Amino acid sequence: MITRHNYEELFLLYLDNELSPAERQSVEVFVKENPDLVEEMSALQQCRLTPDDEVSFGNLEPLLKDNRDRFIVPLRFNTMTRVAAAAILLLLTGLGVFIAMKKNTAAPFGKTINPAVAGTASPAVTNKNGHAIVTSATPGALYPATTDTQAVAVKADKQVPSEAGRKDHFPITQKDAAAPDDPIPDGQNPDDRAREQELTGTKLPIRQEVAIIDPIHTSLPERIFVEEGNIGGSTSYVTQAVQQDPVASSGDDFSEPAPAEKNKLRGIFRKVSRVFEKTANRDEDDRHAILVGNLQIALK
Amino acid sequence: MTEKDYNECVTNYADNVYRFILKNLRHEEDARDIVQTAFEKLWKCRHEVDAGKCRSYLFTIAYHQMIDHLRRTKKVQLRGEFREETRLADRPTPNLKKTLELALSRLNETQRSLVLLKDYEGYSYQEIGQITGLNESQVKVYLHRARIQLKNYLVSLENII
Repeated sequence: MITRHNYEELFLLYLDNELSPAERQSVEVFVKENPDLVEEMSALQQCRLTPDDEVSFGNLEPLLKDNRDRFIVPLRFNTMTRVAAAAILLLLTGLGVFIAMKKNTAAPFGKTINPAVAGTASPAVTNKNGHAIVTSATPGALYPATTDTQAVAVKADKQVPSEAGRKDHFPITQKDAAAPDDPIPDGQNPDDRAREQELTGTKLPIRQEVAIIDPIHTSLPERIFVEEGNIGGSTSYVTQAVQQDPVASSGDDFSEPAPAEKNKLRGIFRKVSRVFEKTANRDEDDRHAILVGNLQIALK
Repeated sequence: MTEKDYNECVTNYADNVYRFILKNLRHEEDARDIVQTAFEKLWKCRHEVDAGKCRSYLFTIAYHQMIDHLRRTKKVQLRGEFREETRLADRPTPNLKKTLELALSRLNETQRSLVLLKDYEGYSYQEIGQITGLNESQVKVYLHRARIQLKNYLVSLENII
């Protein structure tokens, strides 16, 4: 409540707008009731300052921050774009390297080199009849330098020598392993036999001293004897096959053309074996005799 | 506070801050320097200041810059004030406005700032206390004393005239 003892403070609060509406009204009523205090209220009101609008800072350009004609690229967006571009570039580079490597692994003339055959020392190849084939077409890396090799088709499942045979290097006959399915006549050339088997598709074991590569012990050549089979007739299938034009078996990826030197050697053997067939190993009359020239030696 | 908010603050309050500082210092170049410094500090701290509170923040910076400036140049200004005051005492009072400005100059920097913040900017006692670092009761007492002095000065001049 305003009185003549506290009116000055309330007058100042009134001038500073720090009174509530009710308090302001009470001050106005007090002034009306006390006219001598009107002059004092007026003097206090004259002491209030009013802003001078003529006073100004002037040019505000030095204070402003110019953001016009500026396109701000968020750092995150810029970084993400860079990362995405780098990832795409790496992917394309890797893809190109992969394609180039794949082309380089292709063999000449469009053939694919069997990695199991090339550069390894194991005859891990079979023809369509299931026979393991060690042919003259096989790359020379398969054969040691001291081994005499011949083209031969061997039954892979019946001609694996036993461990004892391997160690002692004893010749192992086909009888030790298993009985042959189809006998062949004596004196048949193994090479002819190979072609004959490929042509007829029959399984014809032979008794021939051959050197094959042991898939396990690759340092020593293995020699086995393969049981001969009698197929009857005066003329062997092999001889007939040799006289015929060789027919390349289709679908055999491992029958590659043989080197020229081995062909010559094979030819010599062939001729020699023919001579023996004709003159020595025939047993047409079941006499079990050997004919050498015009001399026949009976065997008992 | 964004850059746009800052520029709006410059446009709306640059003249007000300059006027406040100029009335206190009565020196245009010094007032301009203080205003520029105050806005530079506001720009640096724009991420920490809300757009709605930039005005009070600006006046706070300007007030403290002004106090520091006055304390550095107090001796020089004091002598200058005496001379100016002497010259004005010999002249007749042209109008009330200039008389008040003269009376205002006779107040100390705290009272003068309080009167200017109250009359020029319309701040409340609480807001003035936040700007000047005083509590509400101190603001009330100092401001009342300043107004009484201004009134007494006007009355005495009128009596003389």
